[in-house]
Amino acid sequence: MRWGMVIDLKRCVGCQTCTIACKQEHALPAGIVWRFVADCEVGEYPNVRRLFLPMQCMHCANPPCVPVCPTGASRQRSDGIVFVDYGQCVGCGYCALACPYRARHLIHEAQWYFPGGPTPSEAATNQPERHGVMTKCTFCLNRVDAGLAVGLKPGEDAAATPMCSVACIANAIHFGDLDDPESPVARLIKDRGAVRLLPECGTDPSVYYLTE
Amino acid sequence: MDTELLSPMKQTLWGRLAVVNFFLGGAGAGAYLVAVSLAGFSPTPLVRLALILGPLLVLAGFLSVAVEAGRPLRGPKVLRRVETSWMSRESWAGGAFIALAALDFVAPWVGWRLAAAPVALLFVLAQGWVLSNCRGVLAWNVPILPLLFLASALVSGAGVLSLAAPFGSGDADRLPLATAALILLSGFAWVAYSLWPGNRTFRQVVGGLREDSAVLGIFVVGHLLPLALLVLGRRSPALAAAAAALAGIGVLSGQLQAKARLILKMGVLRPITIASLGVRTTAEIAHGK
Repeated sequence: MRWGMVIDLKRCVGCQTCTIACKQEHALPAGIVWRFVADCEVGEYPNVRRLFLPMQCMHCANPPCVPVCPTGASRQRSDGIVFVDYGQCVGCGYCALACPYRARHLIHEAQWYFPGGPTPSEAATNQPERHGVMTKCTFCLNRVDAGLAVGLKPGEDAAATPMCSVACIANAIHFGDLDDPESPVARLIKDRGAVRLLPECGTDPSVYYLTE
Repeated sequence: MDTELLSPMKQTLWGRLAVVNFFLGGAGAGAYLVAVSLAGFSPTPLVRLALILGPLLVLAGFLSVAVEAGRPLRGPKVLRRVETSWMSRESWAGGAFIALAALDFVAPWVGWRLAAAPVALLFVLAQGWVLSNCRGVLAWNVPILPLLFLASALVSGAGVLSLAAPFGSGDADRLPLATAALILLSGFAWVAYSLWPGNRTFRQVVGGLREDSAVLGIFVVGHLLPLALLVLGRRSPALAAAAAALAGIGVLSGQLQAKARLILKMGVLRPITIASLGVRTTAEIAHGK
């Protein structure tokens, strides 16, 4: 089993709903997003097009961030999900520089939206264990694991699917098992010729993009 | 041709304190390597000087970079992944160098000094490999980095010894000649790096080494001026000590500027590109494609 994602760039409208859904799901502090939608201009005037590119951790099969980690805090599960053990991370930033996708985010210290301390909701969702350590997209592994535990199918059952995919208003983000040839993500990759970012880096990303 | 979707941008995670670590660590370990290369492993004044200054500089580098980490109190955890992480290996090698030097200080023995040399060499190379394993940073992700760091460490070490020799070592006769040779080696290494093949972004970033400020600070002050001072010292023995010390300052200044530029200015995250993009351009749309 290898969890992966297929993002349809022809459906993405750049609304950033996935960005905010992720931020809310993981109670991310001010200034931190684990995913974002880049607003790209492709071509040269007058032949230009606008393109929205959702960016996040690619959960690479060969993740450069994992072997460089000096503490073993960056790890990869057998299902391909790459995650950070906050209790082991020293916050050196090496993994973020090893990642070619700009997918890792160091939370230097507690950050609040307003001066004078946290709002009630920030106080309620504050996670001190994430201060001073590296953070990143987890493919919502808690939702995936909890869903599997009660017999749900990630990618098909919303409760077991990453929040960005569930929240997408254009149904542009598909999640599922890349190793299952009958899964929707595997079929999309096969039928529509998905591409991946920076293949020259040899990372074998688990996030695919549909451009045709 | 790949389409660039996100432009290169400067990394902000490693700042001046990381530069201090790379500079002081290289200078400290390099000083010991130069000293034992010139004077052997017997406890001559030059080796003793290097065995005091070297570990202190490496330790100062470690302390400075620890402050930059998000959770500095977890520092010892960086020793855990020696099988895969060059940062772990750097930490082990640097720590072992400091420990061996401390042992030699307390109980002098040629075995400590013999063991300290390969450890210092590994430490210097590991610093280069730390950077060359950063796939996100084009200017660092090149195989020449460990050799560049070795050359930089050796000439920095020679700079430290040249600066300190008048105050404590009487066996540094060959030091000016060795320093001159290492200056040439360092100059060659930095020029080779600046000419290293790479894609357009890499060439743009590394081209920064040819900017006026870099040429002046790194190549003129850090290489040509020290060489000229060493020649002056050779011709005028009365000025030799002062010329060597000034050359040492120039060398250290040049290597500090070179590493600062490498980390702070050339530490640029690679652009995000995509190989094939099916979106149509305005011209294609206008023509009904």
